[in-house]
Amino acid sequence: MLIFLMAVGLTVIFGLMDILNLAHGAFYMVGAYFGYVVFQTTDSFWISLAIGPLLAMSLGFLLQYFVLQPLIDRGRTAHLDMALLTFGLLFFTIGLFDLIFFETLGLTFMSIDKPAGLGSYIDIGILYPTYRLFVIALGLVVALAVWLLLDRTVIGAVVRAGVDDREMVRAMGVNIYVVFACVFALGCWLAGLAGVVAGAGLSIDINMGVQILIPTLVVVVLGGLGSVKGCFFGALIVGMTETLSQAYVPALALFATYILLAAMLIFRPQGFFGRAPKTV
Amino acid sequence: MSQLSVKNISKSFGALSVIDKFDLELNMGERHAVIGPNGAGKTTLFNMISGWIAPDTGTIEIEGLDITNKTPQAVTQAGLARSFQKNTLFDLLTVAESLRLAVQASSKVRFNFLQPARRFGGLQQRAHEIARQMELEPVFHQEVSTLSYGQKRQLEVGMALACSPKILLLDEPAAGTSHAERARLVRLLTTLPKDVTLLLVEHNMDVVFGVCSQITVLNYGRIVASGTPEQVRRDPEVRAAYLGESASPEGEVADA
Amino acid sequence: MEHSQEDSGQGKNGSNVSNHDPMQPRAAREHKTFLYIASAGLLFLIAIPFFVGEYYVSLASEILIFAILTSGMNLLLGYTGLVSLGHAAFMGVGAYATAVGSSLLGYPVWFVMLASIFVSLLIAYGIGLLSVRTKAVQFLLITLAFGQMFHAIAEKTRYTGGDDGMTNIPRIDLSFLGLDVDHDRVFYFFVLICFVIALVILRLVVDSPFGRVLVGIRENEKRMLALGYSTFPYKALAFGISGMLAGLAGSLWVQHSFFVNPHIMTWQMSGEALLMVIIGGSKAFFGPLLGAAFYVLAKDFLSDITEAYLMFFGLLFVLVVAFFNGGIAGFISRVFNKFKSPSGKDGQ
Repeated sequence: MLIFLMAVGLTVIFGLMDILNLAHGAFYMVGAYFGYVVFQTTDSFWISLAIGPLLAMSLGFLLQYFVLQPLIDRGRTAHLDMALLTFGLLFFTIGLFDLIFFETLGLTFMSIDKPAGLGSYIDIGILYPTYRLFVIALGLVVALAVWLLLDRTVIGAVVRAGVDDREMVRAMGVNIYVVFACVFALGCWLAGLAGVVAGAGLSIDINMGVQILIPTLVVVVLGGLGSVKGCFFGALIVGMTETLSQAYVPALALFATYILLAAMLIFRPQGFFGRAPKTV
Repeated sequence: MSQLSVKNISKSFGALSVIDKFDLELNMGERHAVIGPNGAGKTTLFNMISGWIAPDTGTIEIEGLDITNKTPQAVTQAGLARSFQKNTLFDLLTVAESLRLAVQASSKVRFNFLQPARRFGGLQQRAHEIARQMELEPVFHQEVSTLSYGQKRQLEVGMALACSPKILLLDEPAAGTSHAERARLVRLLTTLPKDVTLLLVEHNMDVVFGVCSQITVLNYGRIVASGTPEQVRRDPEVRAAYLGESASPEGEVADA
Repeated sequence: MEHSQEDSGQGKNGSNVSNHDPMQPRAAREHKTFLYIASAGLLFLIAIPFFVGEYYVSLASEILIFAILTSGMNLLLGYTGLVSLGHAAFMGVGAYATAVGSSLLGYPVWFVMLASIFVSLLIAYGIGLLSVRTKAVQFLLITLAFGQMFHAIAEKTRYTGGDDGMTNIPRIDLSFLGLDVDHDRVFYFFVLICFVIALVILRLVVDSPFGRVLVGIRENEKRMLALGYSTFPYKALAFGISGMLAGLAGSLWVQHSFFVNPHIMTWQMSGEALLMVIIGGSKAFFGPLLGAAFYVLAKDFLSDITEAYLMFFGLLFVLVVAFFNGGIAGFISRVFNKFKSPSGKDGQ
């Protein structure tokens, strides 16, 4: 479900703005680490869940507005440059957090405590951790909200129109750059949210951003780059593939997802729900 | 047998029919223009003939060889080269390098991967010839990105010509050019080798009447009229649909 | 030049550019410059072991090995415009093939080396055939997927030590020349010879009609198709050659460090190689070498100070992508050109 949250953020950015944001893992880390800091000061999971993702969001806004967008306006092969640039950013973030939290502060094991009501198990036929149920519910609600926002509101329409024809939207009196930056920030907020949630479910370490990035990419590709609905099914498929292969051929567990990804890219690069590739 | 034969092709995107039962026969050396208002389906037609889009129905043949569902590269290998409405050039290469790549495409050495490209003087000579034909000699060794817009349009045509095609498809060669640039382009097009068949999509009447002897008028994906410039100009339906919009086509022809 | 096309007077015989020389002046000039730089660089590389200590000789070997990897990668990145995030896998294939062949099966190292180069070529070509059908971002993702697959295989295979990898891998035997390769200076020269061979091959490829096609694909693949090129086999072969060089680098790497483990195949490794190429300059032939040198030396320097050296490289990488697209090599040639002719354009 975490991966689902991540994937929605990534796909929103890619689908609407054509930027493959490999720094998505970095924003996830920002969410987790900042969430941890907030948790340390306030001692409340809920506050850190509310505030934690905001830093990721603001950084996302600034990055898009002041760095990426000017480059897109200038660049010829912006598409790949964006992937490379955000990739470098991911490396940077990993190094930075390593420096601050591990080398300077000496923190090795960090985690956010789950709130009182969500730390136990619930009996739904089998014993199931309540926190996981919470994460699933949260994921669904957020994804639904994002989908409604982008698919059913004027804001969504403006963004989509802006991708196709910038001048037209500008003529309508909308500052499309701010809109783009907001969408980017939204995606980063989702990553940050996933980060805080992960900080309470799992532990926080410097490899977390890289570890989650690959399954996220798989989900996004399976669903079709740019499709929120696709993300949902993509996440389901990846989850099932992992569980099944773990159960029946454990040696192939790692492998199965990658095969899935490669096969998808070869045979149906637009994913299950993606737009057909443009001709000419 | 005609050199290019397009029979009954149609294409629709969803409910929108872009090209409807289009026919066209070109003889060797013919200069033919397809004109029509914006959105008439001209570019789609070109994309189908040159292999970028598969038509829904119908067949396309070059000298009896069926190329209907071939890839763009196969169509070019079969002897039909095209230019693009929007400059589609190698910005960081020189004119010489660009043209040589184009010439190399139809030569045997293109897959040679251990000998320096410099050694193949034949390619270089042919590239130079094309540059001379397209009046790009003064900028032969300049980077494409430094050319003027008009020169880029000349190169756009030159690249297609360098494929040594039997049939040359030019997609609005004069798009966006100034008056002087256009006059030069018309002159260049009229001096193309006589055995190359020319099919041209164009908005500008100077170019059409200056270069072509046959015209097909397209509107909403259907052929409205076709014939010599004189016949087309007199056609009442054409006047209503298309020529009526521009002030006086006769006046512009005098320039060319 | 802007206004010259306005007057149509300069016709068929008014040209002054090309009467004298069938070869392109630019290409000829570039080729000459290339030879100068190459010979100067080679002399420098030969001289290194005579002037620095054992430790730096070993670092220099490391640089050359990475330079083989990154120069090969640049055939894809700089020349063809394809970004692969799975190239460490081919380095891993070369490394494991060498380790298994020499350490487990006991074949002589020279034979194993040739075999591993061949194996990496085959595997890379095969994967190239599957991968190059996709475009830009999809290509990046599919190479990532394949890279991770190889990593997973290496991690799961007991035969090759799983996650721990293998140790005590022998170096090539040069005793018939009276040389002891366990001596780092001797091994350096062996690496240097491999490096030179690799770069000569690469230069031939880049310089050939085939190489020109790759550049055409980078510049505008749509136009290449329209010119009648089936771009697909070119890209697949470029991928194969690139993977072959990565395999050679891997084979040398295990001999250099005497061990191999799956870490060599992680996508972080591919990422670091990418950093080297971009920082060094993907548009220049020797850019990747400069990048590898810079990376290895800076890493050596920084890791004395902090483990978090990735931070600096990440930042540098971002800056290079955003502002100095030519990397170190681009920077040098710009400075050099300015020095030579104040009005000259930069020669990327």
